[in-house]
Amino acid sequence: MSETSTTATPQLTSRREAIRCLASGIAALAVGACTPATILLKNYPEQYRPGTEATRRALLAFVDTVVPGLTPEERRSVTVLEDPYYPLAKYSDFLASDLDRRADRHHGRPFSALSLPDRTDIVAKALRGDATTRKLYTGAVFLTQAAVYGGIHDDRAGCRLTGFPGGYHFANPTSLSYPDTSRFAVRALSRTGNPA
Amino acid sequence: MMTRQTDVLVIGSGFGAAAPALRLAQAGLKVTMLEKGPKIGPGQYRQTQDPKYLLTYLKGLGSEHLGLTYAEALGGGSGFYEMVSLRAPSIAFDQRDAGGRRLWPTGVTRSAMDPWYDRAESMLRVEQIGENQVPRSGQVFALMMARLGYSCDRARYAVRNCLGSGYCVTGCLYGAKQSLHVNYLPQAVEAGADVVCDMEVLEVRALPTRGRPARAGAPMAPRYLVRCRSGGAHGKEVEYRAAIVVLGGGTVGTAKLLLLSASGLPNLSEHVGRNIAFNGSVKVAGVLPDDMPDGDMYSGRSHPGMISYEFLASRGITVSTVKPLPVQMMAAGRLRFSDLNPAPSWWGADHVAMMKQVRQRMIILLSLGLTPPAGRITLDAEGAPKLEVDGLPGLAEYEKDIEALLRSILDRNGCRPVSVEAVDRGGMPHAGTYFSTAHQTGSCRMADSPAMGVVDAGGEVFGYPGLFVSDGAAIPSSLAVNTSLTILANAERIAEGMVSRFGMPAPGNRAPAVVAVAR
Repeated sequence: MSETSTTATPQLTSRREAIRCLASGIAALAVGACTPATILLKNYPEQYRPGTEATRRALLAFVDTVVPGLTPEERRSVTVLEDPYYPLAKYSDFLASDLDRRADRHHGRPFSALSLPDRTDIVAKALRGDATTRKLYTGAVFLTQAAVYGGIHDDRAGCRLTGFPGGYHFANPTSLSYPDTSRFAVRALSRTGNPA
Repeated sequence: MMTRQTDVLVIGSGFGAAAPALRLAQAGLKVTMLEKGPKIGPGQYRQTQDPKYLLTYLKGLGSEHLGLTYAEALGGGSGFYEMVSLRAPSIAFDQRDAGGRRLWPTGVTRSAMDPWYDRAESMLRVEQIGENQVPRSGQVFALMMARLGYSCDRARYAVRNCLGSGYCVTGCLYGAKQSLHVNYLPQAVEAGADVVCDMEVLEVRALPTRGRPARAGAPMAPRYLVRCRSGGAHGKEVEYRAAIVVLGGGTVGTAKLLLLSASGLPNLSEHVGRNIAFNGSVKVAGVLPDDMPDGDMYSGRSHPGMISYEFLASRGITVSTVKPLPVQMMAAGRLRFSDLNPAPSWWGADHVAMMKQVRQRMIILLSLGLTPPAGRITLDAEGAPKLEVDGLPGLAEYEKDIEALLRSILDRNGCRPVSVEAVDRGGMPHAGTYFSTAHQTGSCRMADSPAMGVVDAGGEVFGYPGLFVSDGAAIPSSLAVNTSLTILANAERIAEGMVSRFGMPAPGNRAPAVVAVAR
């Protein structure tokens, strides 16, 4: 029984490996730099793996491009692109490598070393790319905005840029309304009455 | 598998489920309430925008043209709604289908519903907001309507001692919101009901019995077997046997359950899952002109306090303003100035500049309207619900027409236009007409016959004695106002019918008399 297992396993492994290599080769030849294949085959440099310095640097620059005006500390608090709770985390290393690849192709420097207008131009071009690239970048922009504007990393943080105060912002109830209510007087009843 | 027996099994714990659970428990029946979602209440809510928290309790079902949001938690949507508690107008009850047939069953009219609205309002302690409690954004909206000669009234809410924290939609930490956790649910438990959370109902099957269910006071023989699972996808299966089963899992949940139960309930109406109404909400946004005072999107109760019935008779809509928190706003749509060429981006520096104006200078108008019941839920091959919408050309025309009306209110007040482009959960824009709502009703609607709907006017499923639908799924039309009070009032009406048929006759076991509400 155990003899059968030990002889069968290498054969299966090598056959699976061969098919995988063949499929990878064909896919790579067929689609070149096509985004789905690049993501699927992890066909980008080793330095872009989850949590690496290169990945983190590119993603921080991405956050600063989507929501310019954050302080470095505020930018660092936006970890949502790498948070495994969100499906996008599976693609964050690709996103980082793609940002640097595009920056290198157009400017010969990493994405994080570019000016805001140049970074904005790169993200804008990606958002006009193929369907997969568009979906990935749209999701990343959307998630970044929600994280920053909603202050989602800390219930009490809010968003300094937009004046969102976050939770626990007790105010004097009388300050929630303008006191001179007559200024806002309006005919209460519609011509056909109010049904409530 | 463990099998449990009860007189009444109530599925769900929201507005449609709580009233039958309470009234039948008060009437002396053994009541068990099953809630799919987790237990949560005022002590556990968070004032947060964290999606990890929000998506634990708030769920969605979407398609390219319609998105439905609903709660899965103890108390259903009552923990997360804006507390707006309005009676639906008479014209909502008088709506007809393309063939001229009334959508609501015979005898169910606004005047017939008023005693049940009284009871629901009494339980939720509904009252009109005071002039000095209207949040600033609501005051600004009133000023805009007054300038155009339109009417606008203070809305009615289920709340006591509101602190105005602005987090109604993530749950009221202070117990001020009169959610079901502070009235129906504890009273039901006090009357003897069992409430079980984290229990998903998988299927309902009719047991082989004959005739009508027991009359008042008679022994309750089980008529239905209900298969459940506790603790998630890999949890333990449990069976309940019950004489009366009340489906109160909401428009999506109840439709899904009945569709999944087709083999055990083979004579269900073909209308299960159909005729979903959704209050056809339309949103427009603008930036206030310099001569208008500031609003405040983030202070005061979540709903801004004012509602206009000015266009109800002529266009079938109510109009109000809304105060979404940032993540809710992002999820609803991309905002950007629409008067610049080239159009500014929906992200980056352009967007930050606009977002800086949201808190005090942005106004968003929302209409709720009497759109036809055009949504449909079916199941895919894996048994997951799928949503579709019929009649898109008519809905597109409606959306365009109402958007123009709302836009004219902003334009004539001198507001700078802001476009709102609806997006899906990944942030991708929807193409064409799109409605999003938490006001879905009618997937198992009440009707005069099974050829028109799924349940009769008393909420009982055609062909299945003792099986009831008492939630939003039974409501046959859009209402043009928030749906919670009507769902609760209708559930009270259905519960009273059940109590009169099945309640124990012993003195003291009756539901309390309706308390008159000062209006």
